[in-house]
Amino acid sequence: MQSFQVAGIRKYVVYFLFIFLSGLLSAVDYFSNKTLSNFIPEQVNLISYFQIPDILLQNEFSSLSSSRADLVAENIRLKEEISNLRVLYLENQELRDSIESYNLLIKNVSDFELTYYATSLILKNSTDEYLISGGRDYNFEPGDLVINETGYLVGYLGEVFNDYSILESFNSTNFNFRALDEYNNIFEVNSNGKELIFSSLVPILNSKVGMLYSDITFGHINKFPLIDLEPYKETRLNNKFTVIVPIEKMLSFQSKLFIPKSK
Amino acid sequence: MKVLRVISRSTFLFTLCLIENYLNTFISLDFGVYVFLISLLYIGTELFNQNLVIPIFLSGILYDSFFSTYYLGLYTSIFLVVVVVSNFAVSRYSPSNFLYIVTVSLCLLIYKLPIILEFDLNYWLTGYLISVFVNSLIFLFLKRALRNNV
Repeated sequence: MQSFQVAGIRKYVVYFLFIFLSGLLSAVDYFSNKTLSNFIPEQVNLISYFQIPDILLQNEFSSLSSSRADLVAENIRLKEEISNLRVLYLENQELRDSIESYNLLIKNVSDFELTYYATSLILKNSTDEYLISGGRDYNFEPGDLVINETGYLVGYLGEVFNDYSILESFNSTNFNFRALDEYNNIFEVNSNGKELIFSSLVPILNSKVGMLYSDITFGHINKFPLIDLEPYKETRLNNKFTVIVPIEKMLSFQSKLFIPKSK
Repeated sequence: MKVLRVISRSTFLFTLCLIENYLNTFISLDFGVYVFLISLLYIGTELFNQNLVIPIFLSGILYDSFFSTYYLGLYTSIFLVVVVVSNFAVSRYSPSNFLYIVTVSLCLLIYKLPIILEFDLNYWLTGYLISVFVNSLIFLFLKRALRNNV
């Protein structure tokens, strides 16, 4: 009986060793300021590998021998033409979408001294953070603001890798942001996953809170609107406001996102 | 040959992990379909083997490096713990559908631990319960389908 129990535990020994090794790696990563976890992403361009190579979109039949019957050759040429047109069609659709979203953005932002890099969603990880395209290849940095096509803030970059970044959006576990309202009151914004909690850091003398903006005083690149708090109910304690706003909109693959950077 | 086997298993597991993330990016409902978790549970309950520890470890390291903002090794240890817990449950108690559902519930709790620790109960409880139901169904269906095929 006892030997059965020992054998039962023994089969987990290797697993426990590897769990211990994982813990050790976490400890090293913690003390090395995430050098270890950034090592692999810094060496590899992950997203580039997922792009469908052109060769798969086109049929490389042009090298076939010309001695084939004309009909076959014509058929091949037409096939190739169709696949080329298909590629062009897809490219055209993408460009149309980009132009449309840029047009919408132009209507909504006032600062044209900045360069707006278009980015898109790649996937959502297990902790509800979004991976978006573009990283160090576009000089993105942690803390860079991410806005949507209406010019409103949707989050900021938490981590930046070679060709992708991790977006801390409103429903992310680590979301923490500071913003100013129209009367220059400082608000701290946190998320509990389903609601955004806006808390004023200093006593507020005016009776209302209005639109919140990002600001250069917090290291942000420019002033971008975050949310209008006026329609929401506020609670006041010692002249400090707290407003809770439910998160309604989730990001999707159709979301057009932009990262403003100085030129 | 051994190295090749480890690499192919790791690649397969990491691909499952990617599929899971893609799937849950598309699903905007209040639950998740955790294909990778189900495969870990299947490994734990049916295919438990010491040779699988390195592929699971490697896929965890890749996940931690590329997709997680937490420290390297956190999800790796979560993946390994899920396999150990699921295997321990089925070897300790006689396998039944109820045991499998309890195992899925427990392992999903471990799997979503970073979110559970960060957020309060009303954020994750509904999604968690629906996810337990959906993933248990998938897991039981998978087990039955594979058993019939064999």
